[in-house]
Amino acid sequence: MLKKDKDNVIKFLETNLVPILFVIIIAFALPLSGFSIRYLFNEIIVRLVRNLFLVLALLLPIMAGMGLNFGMVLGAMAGEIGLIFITDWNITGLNGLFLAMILSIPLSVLLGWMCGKILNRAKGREMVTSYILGFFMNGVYQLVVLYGMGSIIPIASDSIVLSRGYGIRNAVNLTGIRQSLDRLLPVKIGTTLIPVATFALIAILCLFIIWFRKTKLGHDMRAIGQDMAVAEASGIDVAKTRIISIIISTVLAGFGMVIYLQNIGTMNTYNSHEQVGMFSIAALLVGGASVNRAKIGNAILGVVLFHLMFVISPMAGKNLIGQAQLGEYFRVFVSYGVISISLVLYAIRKQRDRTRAGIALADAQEVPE
Amino acid sequence: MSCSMIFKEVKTRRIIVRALSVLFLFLIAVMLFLGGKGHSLLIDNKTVEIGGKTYRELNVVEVKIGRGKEEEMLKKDRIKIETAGQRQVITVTFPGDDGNEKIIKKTFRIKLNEPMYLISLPALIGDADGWLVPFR
Repeated sequence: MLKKDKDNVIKFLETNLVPILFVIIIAFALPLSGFSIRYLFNEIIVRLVRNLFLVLALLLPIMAGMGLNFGMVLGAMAGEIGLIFITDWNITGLNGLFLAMILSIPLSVLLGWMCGKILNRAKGREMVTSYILGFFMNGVYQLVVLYGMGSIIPIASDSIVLSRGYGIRNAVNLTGIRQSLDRLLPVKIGTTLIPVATFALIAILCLFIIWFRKTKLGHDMRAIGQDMAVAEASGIDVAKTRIISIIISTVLAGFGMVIYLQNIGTMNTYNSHEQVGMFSIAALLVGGASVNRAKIGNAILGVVLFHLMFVISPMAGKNLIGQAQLGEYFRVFVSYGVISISLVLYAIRKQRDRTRAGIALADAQEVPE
Repeated sequence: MSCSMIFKEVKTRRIIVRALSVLFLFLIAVMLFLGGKGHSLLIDNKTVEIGGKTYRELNVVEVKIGRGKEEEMLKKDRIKIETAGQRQVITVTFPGDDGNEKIIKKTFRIKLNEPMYLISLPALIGDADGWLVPFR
């Protein structure tokens, strides 16, 4: 009985080591930062609204056993291209926001399909492949946006085109759609403004994910996630299902990027998408997800913990050592660190499970004397 | 029904559903484009001459576009209002000759490819044809 309890505690610690570590770091840094609870609550609401959609976009490929989709930056690029077009055409308000989302769909589908095809050729190494694919597509994106837009692709607005006549400026002002979704249905609780419409959209995505898990395609993805060979043997088109999961994730990442940028109000044309994949993945892992298991709850908890650390660490660093920059370094270091820890833990767990299964098999095969 | 016929029927139905979905998205995109296209309206309260007739500026006038904020304008004022969509409603409130408040409400359409329009309030109140002109 005692051994069983001990095993349960060890298993709990193994599964939740990253969130526990984060809670400890936050508990240590929170008093040092000197921020009020009200301020932190405000910040967390803003960060949830800004990032949760992007983090939720990662869930489907995990379900299909493809790990963390670093290729979500492809969708983010598609979302940005949609935003460049609506800014050029001067489409304002919610119309502009939804039009940017629609414009991103064909591009996201194309990029997702391409990504899925490549990942099917790199089974077992999906994460590193999608990570490098993100870098490669970033080059293509820069080529198109820096040289193609304004020369081959017509861009009329002087406010977004570089003075030489082609190429998009480094910063695109999204004043026309700035917080158009966040301010659609604002509810004030105390001093905090809750953007109900954005939360409603996120809730719709959560419901979609829950519903999707129960569909035939969702079951297929889960079967593939559990064992690809068994799924293949049972007649599931593994390659096609994996491609679909990446396409859906890329499309959702495109939508997420539009929601993210409408909240900020300015688009950093050449950098906005670069960190999105890394930070979204880190946030999901901080919430207790792993390479092969992620739930909606992990995404919500992850965004809260990760961004709470983001908010408090510069000030805690400043108050502790006198340099806010240290906190800034700390949060980037933590993002990469969390991903590393999770990957190492996943590998250890996988190895241990394999050993346990081997021992169990050996025990079963042992002939009684 | 043979297996190949069922397969063919499913395939046809799938193509139709996909084509309709694309068409539906395209129509929504067009609607969003038309309804969200931003235009700037320059609203002018200055004396103008249109067709040999002079329309005098008003001492004070209140103007509102659609459901937007009501703006008070004095003599020789010009303001810029950002709007979206081609169909617009302008509401002008001004003191009449008898001292009572008068309200004029007009619906107008603006061209998609014109980013900026000039509205002359004295001409609008005087019911002149050229109260709304593209501004280049």
